[in-house]
Amino acid sequence: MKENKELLEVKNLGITFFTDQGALPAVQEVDFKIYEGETLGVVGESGCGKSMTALSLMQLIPTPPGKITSGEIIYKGEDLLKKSQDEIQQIRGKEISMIFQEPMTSLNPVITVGKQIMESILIHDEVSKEDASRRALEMIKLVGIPMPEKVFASYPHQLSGGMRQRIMIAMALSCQPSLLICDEPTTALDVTIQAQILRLINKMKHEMNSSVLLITHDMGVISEMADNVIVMYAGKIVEYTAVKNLFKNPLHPYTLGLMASIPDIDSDDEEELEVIPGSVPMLYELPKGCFFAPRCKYAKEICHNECPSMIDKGENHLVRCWKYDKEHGKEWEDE
Amino acid sequence: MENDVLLKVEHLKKYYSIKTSSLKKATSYVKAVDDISFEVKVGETFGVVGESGCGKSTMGKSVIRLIEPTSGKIFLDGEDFTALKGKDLVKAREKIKLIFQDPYASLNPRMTVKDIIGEPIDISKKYPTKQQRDERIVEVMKQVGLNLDYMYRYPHEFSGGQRQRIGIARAIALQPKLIICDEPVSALDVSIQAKIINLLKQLQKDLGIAYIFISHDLSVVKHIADRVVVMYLGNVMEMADKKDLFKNPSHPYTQALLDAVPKISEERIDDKDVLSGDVPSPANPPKGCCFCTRCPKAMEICHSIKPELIEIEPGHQCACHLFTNQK
Repeated sequence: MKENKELLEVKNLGITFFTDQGALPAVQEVDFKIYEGETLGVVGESGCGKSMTALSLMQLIPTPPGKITSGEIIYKGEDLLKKSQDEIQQIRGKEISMIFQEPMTSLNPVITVGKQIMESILIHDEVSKEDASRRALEMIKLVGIPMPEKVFASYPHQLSGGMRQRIMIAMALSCQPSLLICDEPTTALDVTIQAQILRLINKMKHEMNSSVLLITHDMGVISEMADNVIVMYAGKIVEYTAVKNLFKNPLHPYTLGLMASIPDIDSDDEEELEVIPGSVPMLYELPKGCFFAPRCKYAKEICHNECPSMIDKGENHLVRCWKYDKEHGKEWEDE
Repeated sequence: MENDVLLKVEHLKKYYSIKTSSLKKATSYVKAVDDISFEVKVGETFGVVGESGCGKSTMGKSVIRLIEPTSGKIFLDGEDFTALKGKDLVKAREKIKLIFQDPYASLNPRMTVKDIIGEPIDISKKYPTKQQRDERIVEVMKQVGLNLDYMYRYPHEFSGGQRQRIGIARAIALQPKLIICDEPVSALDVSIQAKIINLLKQLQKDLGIAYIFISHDLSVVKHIADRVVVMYLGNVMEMADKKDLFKNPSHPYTQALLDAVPKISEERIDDKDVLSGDVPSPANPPKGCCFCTRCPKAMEICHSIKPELIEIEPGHQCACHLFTNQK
């Protein structure tokens, strides 16, 4: 499964929002790689910067106020941030495409869904309208929609939420992208429909041999879909590892806290859920030092003063926490 | 046993008529809630689960008569709640309160926290003097863990979790016996969700409040509820004690729901049994059992005759032909 060939590398990405409250760092020091055929999961609570990271890959950050202030996004050996808008247009939708959370608001309500799928094919490939419409119909069949001819001529409001999300997937995959970004693709859907859509994303990934960047707040979805996982908190990556490792051996206190606060459907435990004290800091009041330190039960003096960098724990496991630092980690050893 | 029952709902129905023109007679009905009966005991949590459009919110709102039920009876504390009017209804509603899903939309943006919590107190005149009223507000704010400095702030200044606390404070201000929680944690992040769930459990322990807990999230319901009802297209599919339901789910729909929940485990999405098809439109439900179009175990009879809700074990009811046949 893992061919270990890099498709995309993000280096030291920083996104800042320039607002009345000053320059707010929405994303800082984000590094990651996506390999060919891999599903990379990004998990975190609202406001942790996971959607912004995804939008930056396609340069869809609302500008102003947002701006990519640092870093490189290297896709197939070329830095996307150095490309002109026209060049990006060629990549967006063809090489990298995206599925959004709310399929109702991301489809055009006054154009039939068939035409909307044709649109992206016509922009990127030099084909006749007949060919484009044939391909669009094929895509609708491929994503498992019953009565594709009828759906082709339907408007978004005539379809259910699950159907709309299938249309979004058909549209995103119509040009056979190498990378599919899914931003909370199933959050607005019911559980039984969610399972259908997740399975469809997985099936299409295998058929088209693309990579998937899956953004979600649901640890269960990550567990079922991802190969590797990034955990984000307040704009920074706090942990990166293979999915099995994350659930077997989570290292960062935030990851631990997050998992403890989810009620487990398989256990009969009726005890109180563990909670992380406090709340996610606002971007204009980010603490000095480690962003999680004020809420962390393991925090020591150094955590409040200096932000740790990503520490390599081996076996493809990176964590941003002083506890695992070679020198400073000794302070925690007695506990 | 009879004294334990706080709320008794009998054959509750809510039909919405579909009209082609406002002057014509209704051509058909959307059966949002179709003949539901249940009881809620003092101090227990009654969970209601189902997918969107299954009628769980309509059911919750019909119980408190924010939506007037089409037919059926509701008894609150032995009193016929459906027959009440005017002042008597306002008085009876002191015992039964509602918490909404969206903490952003359910608080008046132009009222301070103090006035939001004080509003039900003013209406009931339970704490007549200003001093008593203020004391009660302070007491309630302490109970839900709101900082007293926030008393004169407006809802927009709060985060989602804090707002939900304000909504809870408003609900418990008059010491109700029953609170209907309509998806109270769905709009919140997981770490905040845990705090609100813990708060609801704590309040139940301290004040002996019963909850009707409506949610689409099975793991949350499993954590908080004592008894659970599973709904689909306005019908009850299965009703049982929580332990029974989760250990021994009998209805194929309940089983499918439990399978579909994403879990942290070794299981990958490709290994799962996934239910096919969409939820049918409630305006045009299938004939026979409403789940027959998606049911992996559907038989011939399921497409023609609607199964009755029968007791398959003591306290465990299920509406499925798999069990009617046995009898």
